[in-house]
Amino acid sequence: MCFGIPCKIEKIKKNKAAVKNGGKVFDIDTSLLPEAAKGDWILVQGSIGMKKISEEEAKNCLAVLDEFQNQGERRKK
Amino acid sequence: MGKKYERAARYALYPNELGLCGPRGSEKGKLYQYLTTKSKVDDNHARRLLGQFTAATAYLKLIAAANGIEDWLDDRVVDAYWIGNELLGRVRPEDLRELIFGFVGEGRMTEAAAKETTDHVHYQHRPHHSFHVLAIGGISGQVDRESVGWELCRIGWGKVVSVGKGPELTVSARSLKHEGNRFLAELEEKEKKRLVRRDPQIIPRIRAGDLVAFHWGRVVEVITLNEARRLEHWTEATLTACRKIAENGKRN
Repeated sequence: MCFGIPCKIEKIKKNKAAVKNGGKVFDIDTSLLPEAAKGDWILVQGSIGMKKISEEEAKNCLAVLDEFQNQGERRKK
Repeated sequence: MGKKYERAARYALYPNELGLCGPRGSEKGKLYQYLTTKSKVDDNHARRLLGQFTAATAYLKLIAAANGIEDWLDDRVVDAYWIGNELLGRVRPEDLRELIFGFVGEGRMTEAAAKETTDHVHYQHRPHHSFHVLAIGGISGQVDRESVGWELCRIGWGKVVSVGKGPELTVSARSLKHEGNRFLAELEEKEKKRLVRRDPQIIPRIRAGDLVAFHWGRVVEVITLNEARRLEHWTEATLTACRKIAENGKRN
């Protein structure tokens, strides 16, 4: 899947995890990621954890998302 | 000799660099080498790398099979998936649903998500990249920046307005708008200026007035007017089918 938003796992128990994204914490399904652990960066699509990624990849991806979001906010001003 | 799989590699490159899909570990970065240097990454190696984009590969194989084309990386098939062409019309919606359930078998989608997703496949949906992003791409509303990711993941197109000295260039392009319901998304009527980036190794020459396709905010290639119109047509077709699902409340 080439779509997903990087989130960091704050808590995980069985197939449920609390992940952090943009200051918010919310619950997702991690049944596709049986080896996921607290502190891992994962791609989230909808409310499902899709795959693990490295911290570097997560931060690069978030930077691209922020860059585009900031452009949109500048256009609104 | 040109690179046989250059176009497929160009469209796959940026999401791979961000870790979203495709080769991992030591193989990550090899597509960039394939596109930019006379390196050891030859066509056969590039083909193996492209086969690791499991979702894209599934769509390409589906399009090829529906059209009796042996090679899933045939130029016509690659053009159909990323830009859009008449090959898409020969794929049946039930094949699209089967493809989605195939993701479950690969451990890439939960069964519940596949069931929900296939309920939202309209008979007019076709296996264009925009379908994968706009119809399948889950938007829950709870994840910050997910609608931004949704916009960046689809293949955008626009006209170059100005080229700066650095990597950034300004394009005039239509953005997506949606009021919280992804099935009611549409392209804005008017084009707006936005910044995209280019890697001079990938896009060595570009000038104002060129039409470009972009993926994850990076220019993929310079395209023709015909290609831009087809990309717009098939993106609109995906969005129209999504709206019909939303209006009817169920698939047709």
